[in-house]
Amino acid sequence: MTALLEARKLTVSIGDRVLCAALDLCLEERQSWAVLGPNGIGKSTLLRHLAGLSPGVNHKLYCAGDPLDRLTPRQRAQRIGLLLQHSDRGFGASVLDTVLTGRHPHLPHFAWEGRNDLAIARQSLADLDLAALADRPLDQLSGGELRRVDIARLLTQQPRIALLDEPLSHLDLGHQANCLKVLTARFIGHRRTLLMVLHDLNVAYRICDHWLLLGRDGAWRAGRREHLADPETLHAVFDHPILRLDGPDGPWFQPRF
Amino acid sequence: MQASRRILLLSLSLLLAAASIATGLLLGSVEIPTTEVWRLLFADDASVHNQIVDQLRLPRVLSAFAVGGLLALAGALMQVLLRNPLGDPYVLGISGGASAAVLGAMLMALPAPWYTPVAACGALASTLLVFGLTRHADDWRSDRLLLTGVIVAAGWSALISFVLSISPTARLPGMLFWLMGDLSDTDRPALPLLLLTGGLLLALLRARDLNIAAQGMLQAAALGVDTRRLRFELYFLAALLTAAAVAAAGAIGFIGLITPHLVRRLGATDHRLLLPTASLLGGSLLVLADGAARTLISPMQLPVGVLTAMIGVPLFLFLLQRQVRR
Repeated sequence: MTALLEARKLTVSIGDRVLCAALDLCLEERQSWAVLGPNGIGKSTLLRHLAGLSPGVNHKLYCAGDPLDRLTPRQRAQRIGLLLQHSDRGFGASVLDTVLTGRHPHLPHFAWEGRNDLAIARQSLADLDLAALADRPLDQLSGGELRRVDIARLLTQQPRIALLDEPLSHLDLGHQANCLKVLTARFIGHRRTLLMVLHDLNVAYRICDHWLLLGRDGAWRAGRREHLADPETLHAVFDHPILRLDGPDGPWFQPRF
Repeated sequence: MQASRRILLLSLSLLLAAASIATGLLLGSVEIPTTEVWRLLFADDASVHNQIVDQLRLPRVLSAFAVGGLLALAGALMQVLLRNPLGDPYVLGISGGASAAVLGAMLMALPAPWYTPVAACGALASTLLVFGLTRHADDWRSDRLLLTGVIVAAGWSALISFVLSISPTARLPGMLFWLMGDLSDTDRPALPLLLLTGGLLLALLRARDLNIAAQGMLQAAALGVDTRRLRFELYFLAALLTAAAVAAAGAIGFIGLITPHLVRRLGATDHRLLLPTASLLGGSLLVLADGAARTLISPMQLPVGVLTAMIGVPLFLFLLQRQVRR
């Protein structure tokens, strides 16, 4: 197993507030990670750091052994994909044109997208049930459709490391299941890895084999999910009692109402 | 958008540009037949008609085209930089700085040839001021840049009102014409045309980055765009283009705001197509507006800025209405 993305003693802070202190994290091939924690704990900021978008900390990050501060933004985007928490409708570009921008880091500077790029983009659209909307402008999409466009662009980017910030937000249950199926098929394979910010512990338990728990005052715990999925740990992280019910297909989690 | 439709749109814009320039050459208070205008462009017979075509109409039409193109291009860049559909070349106070400087020059009774360099200096000062104030702003958000620009612009407009209120009455018409945008003193189209061509080529080098930046600077960074550099380049390129336009013709409104929207409505959201189309369309629109400004109440002339606003306001409202109904 090789480490695709590694953080060594990465400290995430906003102003004086330390969100995550001296984090050691290693995303290996074929692993899938869930980032779990309460609101405002720094999950999105952490993802932005891991994606190399905060130049000040890039020397603490290694992508397949290369320090991130040695990579150009373009090289970095060829390897690491980031799904942002909030979608943007832009200036009315079409769904297909938007998804095609995922090819940007792979294209030479002045090139137009070629037949191959178009085929990749169309495949991503088909995978996410968006083929019929290809020519629709973004400003005419629903929130869930827009979310799937974001995911389709990430698939079109074809990074080896996919970092996703709440990929399932706005999606109906059917599309949630389909997205998870597509994401695991694409990213938990040979030489790829996946890390998602999630709020649904049941999804996190079933889809991700590793968890990163972020707690208050910079505390964090990372490891295999079965070592972290006990009610006491979760209670401490979320500051709320969480029930764990063991079923035939694994445990189910529910907040105590 | 398919390649065939892209070529069609670009060809149509080129055709419109040629047609508007031809129309601009034919319009004027002296009536000169079409065939003679065409002949005089290439011949030299020292007649009055020849002088009118070669030394008055041609430079003016070409200047109008260049200024319109500069404004439309700067507007398209500004809208991406500010991530705001209301972005136009003037929103960051560039025209305000130029106007305040020129009005100051007029108040001190400097001769007219000074206006262009003075306007350029005012625009540059305002550009550097806004940039200096927002240099350390958050990379991912554009509202601070927008707010700073708007506030600086408000400062300039207070200064402009001040100059207007202390100026002798005899100088006011000239000042007002300049403020509304006026192409009557534009006899040197070479520099604006050169800047338009160069600016368009530079912007086209960044066109694919602009497509992504239109989805947000953070998204652009995630896809490997060096956003810090892109913002810097966009800001100074748009400022330079605007300064060139304002220095040549004063603060002509609306072309920079509506042309990019118009082109997007026509289906060109890809900046590789949008930038050249908007430049051509902006140029054509201003040539036609200027033709109308020269002839509507001929032999008197209207400031062309009045015409662009008169055409621009209903056109923009129409576009907005259509957008709502869709």
